[in-house]
Amino acid sequence: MSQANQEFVLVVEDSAPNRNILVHLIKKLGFQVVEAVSGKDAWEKIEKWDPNHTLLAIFSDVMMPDMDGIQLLEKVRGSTNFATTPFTLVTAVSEKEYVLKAKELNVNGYVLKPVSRDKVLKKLTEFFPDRKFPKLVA
Amino acid sequence: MNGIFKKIFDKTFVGLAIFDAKTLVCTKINPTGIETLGVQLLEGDSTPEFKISDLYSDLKRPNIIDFSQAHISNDSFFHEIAMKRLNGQVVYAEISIRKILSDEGNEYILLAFKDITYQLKLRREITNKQEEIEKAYDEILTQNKELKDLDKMKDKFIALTSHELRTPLSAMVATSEVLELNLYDTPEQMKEFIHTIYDQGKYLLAIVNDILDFSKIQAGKLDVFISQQDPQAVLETTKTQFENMAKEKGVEICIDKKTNDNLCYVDELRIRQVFSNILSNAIKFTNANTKVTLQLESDIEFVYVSIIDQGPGIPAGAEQKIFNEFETLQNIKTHHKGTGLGLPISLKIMKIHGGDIIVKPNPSGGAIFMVVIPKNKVLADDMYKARPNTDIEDLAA
Repeated sequence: MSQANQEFVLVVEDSAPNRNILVHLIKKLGFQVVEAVSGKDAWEKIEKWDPNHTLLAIFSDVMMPDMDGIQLLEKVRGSTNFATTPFTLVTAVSEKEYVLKAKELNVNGYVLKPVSRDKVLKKLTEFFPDRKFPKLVA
Repeated sequence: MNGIFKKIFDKTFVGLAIFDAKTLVCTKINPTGIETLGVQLLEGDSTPEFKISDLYSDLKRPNIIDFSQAHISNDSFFHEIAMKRLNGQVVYAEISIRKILSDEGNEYILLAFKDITYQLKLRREITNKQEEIEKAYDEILTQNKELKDLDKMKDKFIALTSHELRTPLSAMVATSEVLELNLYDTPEQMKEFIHTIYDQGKYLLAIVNDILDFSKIQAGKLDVFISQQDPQAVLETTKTQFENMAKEKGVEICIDKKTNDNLCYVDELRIRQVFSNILSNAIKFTNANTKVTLQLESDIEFVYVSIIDQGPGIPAGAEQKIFNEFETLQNIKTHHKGTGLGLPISLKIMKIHGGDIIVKPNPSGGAIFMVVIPKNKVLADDMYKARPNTDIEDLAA
């Protein structure tokens, strides 16, 4: 059976515990997730993207080995298929200089670390206003 | 010589001496000339017996012209020339040489000279001072640049350190929130999240300890308590401590003991820290499914503990860079996990011990970090004392 048109969110983060928790939250909000451990890993996954599937959004850390979040954003914006894919930088306050650079590259927003249910939900609601999200309450 | 010209001759501040062009004997000299050349006059005598050649100098110093026969053959002028006074001392002078012909048809040499010894001395002093000032200015410029570079590196260091601190903290806060909101899927996942928090907390503690140690070392305030020890026991505990980490990578840690003569002067807690730093790096960088060897050797002076891995090795020329605390900060966006302070701290600890860490390539591929520990008391007496409380947990304080 072909896996026709599945939708994914791509999470890019080099720190495993931080990646795991963001992936978990996005999954809890009803999305399938593809994980990448660096900008380079993410770009390789994007380049090999199966055209039958949809890349809904990208959440990427900024400071990473080999390729950082800004370089990844630049590549994504320069690509044919994903130039308008919602791209969120998951960042910390001290990375302001990169935030300014990202603005020029039309980033779709930021999630300030540490990530939380509310921050991730707010961003996803912004991208997909018509979508019904599961209620995540204690 | 009469009238006004005689008065000018006698009163001028320029020394004037007239020599017979054939015999070169002085026929007339004015009072300034007598003083400048240190001429001794006998009472009632107005023309001393000396030749122009008595004024030739042979100082042979660089950048100084010696007055010589060559200068008197033509009319000429010299700004700065060394002449010998009649008492043998040297006088620096500005001179002019003129051939003159008397009404009677006799040929003379007129030597006019001005003593510039004092001006020259002043000028030399000013030049020296100027050189000193220029040197000091250059030094200040260099220091200023060094300080600016250091300041930049410190900024980078702070940026990197805050990133390093924030990464485990963010994971801990985000993971705790998931637990607090009961957003885990299974009890196993809950346990996993708790483990993450514990793990990241430990990692954070290690980073904070590194930073504290580093600042203590920088301030010269790292306490060391050195006593005679056998490092083998420490090596074995360190090995046990890292066995899990090694196993995950299929790496085997083995101890290769080549000596029983192990007693050396060392701070047990600090050496454990050094072994841990190097061994964790060795496991991190050695290729999967290889061996990391802890080798123990000694000679009369030192005990050598070598941590030998089978990884990519240290690129030639980079052996010293890895011990530079700021080297890892060169590219903040792409740097390796951790503060990068482990090796700089380890090296400084060993230097405090009067020991060293030597890096060399492993002939069969990989790197060798050799920790050198003195076997004898090589430090000031007050370095050798027992740690007041040998509880290892104190190291974190």
